[in-house]
Parts: sequence; structure tokens; C-alpha cells
Amino acid sequence: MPTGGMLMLVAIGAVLGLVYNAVGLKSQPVWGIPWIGEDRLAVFDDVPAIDVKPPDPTISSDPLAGLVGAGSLPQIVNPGRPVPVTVNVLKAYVDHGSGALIVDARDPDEYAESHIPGAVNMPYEEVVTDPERIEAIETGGQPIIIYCGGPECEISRNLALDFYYAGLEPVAFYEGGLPEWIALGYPLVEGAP
Amino acid sequence: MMGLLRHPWVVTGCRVGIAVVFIVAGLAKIGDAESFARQVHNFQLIPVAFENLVAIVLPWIEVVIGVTMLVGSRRRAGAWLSLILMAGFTIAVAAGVARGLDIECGCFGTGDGARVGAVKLIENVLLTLAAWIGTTRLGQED
Repeated sequence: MPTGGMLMLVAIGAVLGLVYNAVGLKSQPVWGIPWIGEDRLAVFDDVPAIDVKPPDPTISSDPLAGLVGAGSLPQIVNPGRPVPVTVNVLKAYVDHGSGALIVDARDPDEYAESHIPGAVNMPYEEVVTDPERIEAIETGGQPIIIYCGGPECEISRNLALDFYYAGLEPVAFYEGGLPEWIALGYPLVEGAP
Repeated sequence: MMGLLRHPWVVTGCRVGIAVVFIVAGLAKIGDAESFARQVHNFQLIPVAFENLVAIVLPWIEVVIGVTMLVGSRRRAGAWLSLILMAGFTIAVAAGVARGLDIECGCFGTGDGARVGAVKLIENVLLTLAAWIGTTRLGQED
């Protein structure tokens, strides 16, 4: 193996990349990224998930529950980045019948099999290659809650960040995703997008 | 069969093909380091602190490798590096599949939106094979 030549090529590539990125950091608008990847870490790992108390069955059996519930939807604040929410928050919105744009980031066939009631399908794979799909979203100021196939699935976070960069807010992602929702026995619907 | 794989045209074809793939994939990622850094993060294979550096540097290394494999100077070094990188990419994809990650490949930036899965794994294995064939029949020149 030509070790010397290989090291040289890697070095040339590394220098080109660092110089190019340094130019990007000084440009307007900035298109370079910090050398150390801390900012993105903060986006996802430093924000505590917004939570509410789980729905109380004694209250929801009250005929006035709908009226009471209308005023008590959990607030999804906008901390300047996408924010995680727990299953209780999403459940509160689903029980309320809406109040948020719930987005399923998985593939259409997965969505058709089963999804959370009221969710619209916006496959990350399609959205990422067609930014106009994000620009076309009208939330009317309502929060957006995105989910996918659970903690092992990153596309809800990525989609949340894309939404956020597109100027939509507040944007939340539900990390537990469909597996947790199903495990809790919460309602599901099926049907094509 | 082995004779066919060592045929000069096959070897050259593999080398040129890999070179083009590396240049295209590198250029696609250079335009959007932020997205590529996120895709690197999703693979959960390297420490978070190094993710941005990889995203900054790796696409350029790919382009440099591709160009050297085409122009002929340092061709042997480029071919061997392409094999090492392809093997690394294949391991990354295999690890993603094995851990059930549902993530974007990022192989060609955000341009193709391809997800990590069996198809991507097969694609990578074939490319690694091509890269290996591309390292053969090169003399000891540089």
C-alpha cells in the first residue's frame, strides 16, 4: 500500500475542506459550520422535553371535559429551536381533536398501515428533496408536532430542524414515536395519505 | 471469473466508475456541510465533537481521491484510499442496518434522500468490490 501518497491525499483534502469552511464562516450569509459540533448537540440534547400530567380518566369522563380541556392544552413554547415533547403532550392534542399540526415523517406505506389520529404524512425522504413542501405549510400559528418510528429514528428531529430553519414555529418532536404510542394502547388509524 | 475481473478494461472501468462516484458524492456534500454533519450524527458512530470536522473534511477528501484516480498522478494512493473509504462506508451502513436505524444515508448529500437499508448495503458492497478491483493492475508508480 502506498502509505505516503495516501497520507498526502488525505492531508490535501483536509486542508481544502478546512480552508473552504473557514471561508464559509466569514461569508455573509454564513455557510461554514463550527469545527466542533456542539451547537447541533444543544439543539437536541440540552432541551428538557415539555411534559404535562397524563390525562386523568375521572376528568375525561366528565361531560364538561371538552370545554375544560379546550383551555388547558399544553403550551409548546418556542425556545429558539425545535423542542422535544412527551407522549402526554401529544395525547392531549389528539384528545382535543387538534390545535396542532401533527406530522408523521415516515414513509407513505408505513403511514397507511397505522398512524396517530389527525396526523398528516410528510415523508422526510420526500421533503428533504423538495423544500417547497415545507414552504407550502400553513399552520395558522399552531404548533407542529412531528413523530416517526421511535427513539431509534432520527427523521422526526431532522424534519423538525428543517421546519424550524424554514421559519415555522413552534416546532416540536415526539421522540417516543409510534412504538411508545402503540405500547400505551393509544388510538391508531389506518389509511393512505 | 477471476481472469475477467483482472481484465484491463474491467479494472479501468471500475477505477473510473469509482472516481466519478467519489467526485459526485463529494461535491454533493460540499454544498451543505450543516446537513451532512447532521447525517453523520445520525449514524451515531463517532464522538459528537468530531462530527463537524468529518463533515467539513471528508467530502473534500473524496473529491481529491476521485480526481487523482482520473488524472493518473498518485493513482495508486487514490485507488487504495477509495477502497478503504468504501469499506468504511459499508461498515457504517451495515452498523446502521444492524441497529435498526431509520436514517438518511447522506451518501450523496441531501440530493437523493436515500435511506440506510438493505438496498444501500448491497450498493455499497458492490462499490467496495469495484474499488478493490480498481486497486489491481497498478504498477509501483507513485
